[in-house]
Amino acid sequence: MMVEKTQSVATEEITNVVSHGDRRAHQKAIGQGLRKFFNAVVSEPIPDEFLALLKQMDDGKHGGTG
Amino acid sequence: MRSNGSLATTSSPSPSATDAFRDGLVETIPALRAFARSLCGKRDVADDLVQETMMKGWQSRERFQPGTNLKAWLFAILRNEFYSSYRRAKTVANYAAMESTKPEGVDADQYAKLDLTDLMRAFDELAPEQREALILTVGEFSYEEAAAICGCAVGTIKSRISRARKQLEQLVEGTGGKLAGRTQSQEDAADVFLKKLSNPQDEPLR
Repeated sequence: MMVEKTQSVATEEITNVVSHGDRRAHQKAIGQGLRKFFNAVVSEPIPDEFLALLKQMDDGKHGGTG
Repeated sequence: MRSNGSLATTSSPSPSATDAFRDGLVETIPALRAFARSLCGKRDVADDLVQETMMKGWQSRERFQPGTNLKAWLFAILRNEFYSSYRRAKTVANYAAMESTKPEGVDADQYAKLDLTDLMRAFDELAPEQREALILTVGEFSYEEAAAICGCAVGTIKSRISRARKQLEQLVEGTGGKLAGRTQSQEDAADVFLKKLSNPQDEPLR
């Protein structure tokens, strides 16, 4: 059993009521959640409109710098 | 004419360089979509942004130096495109899509399925500078690469991340929401914490 002391640098209310252990858990959950969000979008199939755009590029319609 | 990086701009890149660029661009689409979604909130606005980025990148491909980080180069273009529309949106009042970044429709369903509704709602409350710092480093890049993409110091990225994480925690827990991915014991600890915090008068953050 750990008895956690509240953080001494209490700049915001939450730091007063959340233990170090809980904060670690919350922060870990935040990191995991954001990664989950990112990976979920990454694993979506690429919509057709993107493939159409790539084809346009291949056909040279958007080629060149002018 | 130009003083920097103009060596090879008088002739077109070789077909193989163009192919390599194209392949790299295609490979980066999924990550660009994720980055754009994190900045714009809405799927269709985000996908438009990615397509603008692809066209811009393709048109500027002669300025890309082979062997450097194409993904970071494309992310920087996307970011620039986003901020120029964002600034425009701020001055053009009727461009509501950029201002209202709340998850809705298909995205809300997706977040619910992933158990991310509360986290993403809080995430959308953050300033774009905070969102990008979080997403760049959680997904693909080191602090140094993220700083290069955002054109700021590494320390700035780190402090944005730290402030953003603190704010996310407050937003989620303060509204009685939950953070995805907890283990059971962490859940219990958080429940106790939530009971302590639950004060209806303080509740409405949005």
